[in-house]
Amino acid sequence: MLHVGLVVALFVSFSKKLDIPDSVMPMVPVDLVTVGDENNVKPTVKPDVIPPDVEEQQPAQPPDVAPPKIDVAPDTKPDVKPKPEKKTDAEKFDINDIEKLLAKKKPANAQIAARTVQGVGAGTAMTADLQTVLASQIYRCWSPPAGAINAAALIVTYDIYLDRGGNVTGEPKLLSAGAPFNTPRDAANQAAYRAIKACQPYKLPGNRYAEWRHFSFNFNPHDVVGP
Amino acid sequence: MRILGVVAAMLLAVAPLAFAAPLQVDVNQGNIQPLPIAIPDFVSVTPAAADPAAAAAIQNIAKVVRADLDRSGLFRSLDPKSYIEQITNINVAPNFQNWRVINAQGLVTGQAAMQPDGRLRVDFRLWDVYGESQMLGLQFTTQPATWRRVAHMISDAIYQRITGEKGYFDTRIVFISESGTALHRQKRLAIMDEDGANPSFLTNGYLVLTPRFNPSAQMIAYMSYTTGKPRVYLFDLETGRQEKLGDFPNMTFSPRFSPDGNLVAMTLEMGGNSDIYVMDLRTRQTKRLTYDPAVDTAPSFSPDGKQIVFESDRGGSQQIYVMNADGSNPHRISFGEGHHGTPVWSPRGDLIAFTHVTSAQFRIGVMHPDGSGERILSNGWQDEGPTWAPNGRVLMFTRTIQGGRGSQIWSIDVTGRNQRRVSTPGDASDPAWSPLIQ
Repeated sequence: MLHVGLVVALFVSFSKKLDIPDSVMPMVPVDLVTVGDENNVKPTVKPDVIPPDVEEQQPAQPPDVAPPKIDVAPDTKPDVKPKPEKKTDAEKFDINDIEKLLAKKKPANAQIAARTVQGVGAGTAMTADLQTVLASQIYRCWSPPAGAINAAALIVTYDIYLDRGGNVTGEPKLLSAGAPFNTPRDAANQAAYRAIKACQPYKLPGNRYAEWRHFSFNFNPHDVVGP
Repeated sequence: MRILGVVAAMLLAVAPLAFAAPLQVDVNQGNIQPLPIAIPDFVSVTPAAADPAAAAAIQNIAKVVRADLDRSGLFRSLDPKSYIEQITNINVAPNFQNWRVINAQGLVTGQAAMQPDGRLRVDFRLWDVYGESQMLGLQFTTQPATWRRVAHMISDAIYQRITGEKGYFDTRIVFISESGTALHRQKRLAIMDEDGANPSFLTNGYLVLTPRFNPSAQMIAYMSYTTGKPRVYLFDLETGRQEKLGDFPNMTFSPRFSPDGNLVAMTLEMGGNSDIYVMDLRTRQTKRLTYDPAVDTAPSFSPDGKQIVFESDRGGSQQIYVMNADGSNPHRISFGEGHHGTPVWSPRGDLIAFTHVTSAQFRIGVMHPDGSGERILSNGWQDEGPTWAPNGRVLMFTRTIQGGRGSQIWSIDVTGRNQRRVSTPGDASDPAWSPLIQ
């Protein structure tokens, strides 16, 4: 409706100026062709048997990123790795004995939870490399509207899902402010959208798909467009 | 109850696992590049060869649109030879994949047809290649001879849809056309389209300077030596009529219209002192705004008409000042190195353009109306006299070539990018950019 409104508005405006526009062209029914995963290069990573959601909850230790270092005093005993919990514990789960079970699992759970938070989106060493990789790939496609009024303040955030080939699945979702057509804010939103689409497929480590399958791009033009 | 509490505690413990925030990627670097856009030649719906103007229109509209958008520096029209799809019917959605392959991010398709009443109908559509949707669709009907204006209006519509700000292609430039030797320089008032097309002379012979458009783009105020003494004149573009503005004993110069077109601010010289006056064109009453013994000149209204920026040497050197439109509260805003002159308030109000003068160079700069954020944009040897595009994103100015090799008109984006020479018939100076034509 907004689109139609815009077209009508422009038409009326031009008609007043020159007395040349007669009518607005009808919209063409457009058959949207969804570019699915099949159209792209097959991902080199074999489909994981574990569904992504489950994988997110149990992130494996990334092989190419060192875990955060823990400073240990030299005179203390070396840490003894806690023995992994036997899977059979889960099978033995008994809702009537939940308090005892929780007390027993507390140390292990706390450790895993802390790592998980750091590992997904906290911007720590665990994810900093992914953030850098993504930012270094999209920057060349992003041309914010330099010269627009207040251009440096037009920050845009899009929420994105990628398939394993690094291609955008579905439509990027605008999380920052939307705007009517023909406004600098709309131009900034469009520029970010084009950048996301133009730069795919993103080249990312396949074994860490759970970490990058869903993320947000925060486009901040302050350092790009100048004062 | 106790069990519920324990379950809640467990949920809290595992919450970070299940509801962890997705990765946040901050993008602080970009690559300011023109938007690649494909603009195939417009489709001819009906045979138009019988009318040469119509034939020229159909053949050239896309070419003019490509040139307009390229000139802006914000678009890069792709070479038509690179297209792998031929547009034959603009009412059918294009195959977007064919345009993505050549890296087009925008696509313009259009058609033209002669109507039974002898008018030319031009339709066009702007497509978002990545979004696979139509962004804009407009239709124009006009006399075939005015096809260039239609092309400029199409360019303006595309520019506005992509950049979010109005375009400036359907505008005109009035300027001083210069010819002859240095000793016998002839300066005539001339006018042309923004792209340099349709140039024509408005005056003949007498020295003229500082032309300025009124807001309707139908009237020009300028200074002329027609009677031997410099005086401000008005030129009506529709009728060709010229009129001396006021009957003052001494010289008047540096005129500028108010945003509503009812007032003209200008400088009057009285007893060796130059001050700024404003004349109401409806009553022809004049009011003095400055009273300083220094030279106050080059007034320019803010877009809301409430303030005037001007230059003055009242502080010992040529600097920029702002006062209220009634002359109250004059205060200096330029404090940087060198001198500052010929200030012009941006139509969108956020910047004031000026000529920055040092002992070695004249350059074009901008600053905010409070004097902050001063930036030098151009880099010529002698760049001066800025004028704003109606959307406040582009400036034109005079560039004098070192070594007495004449003067030219150049344009530059407000970011300092896209500095380029404006096409003029011969030497040219003192440009004034019109508002969008109505």
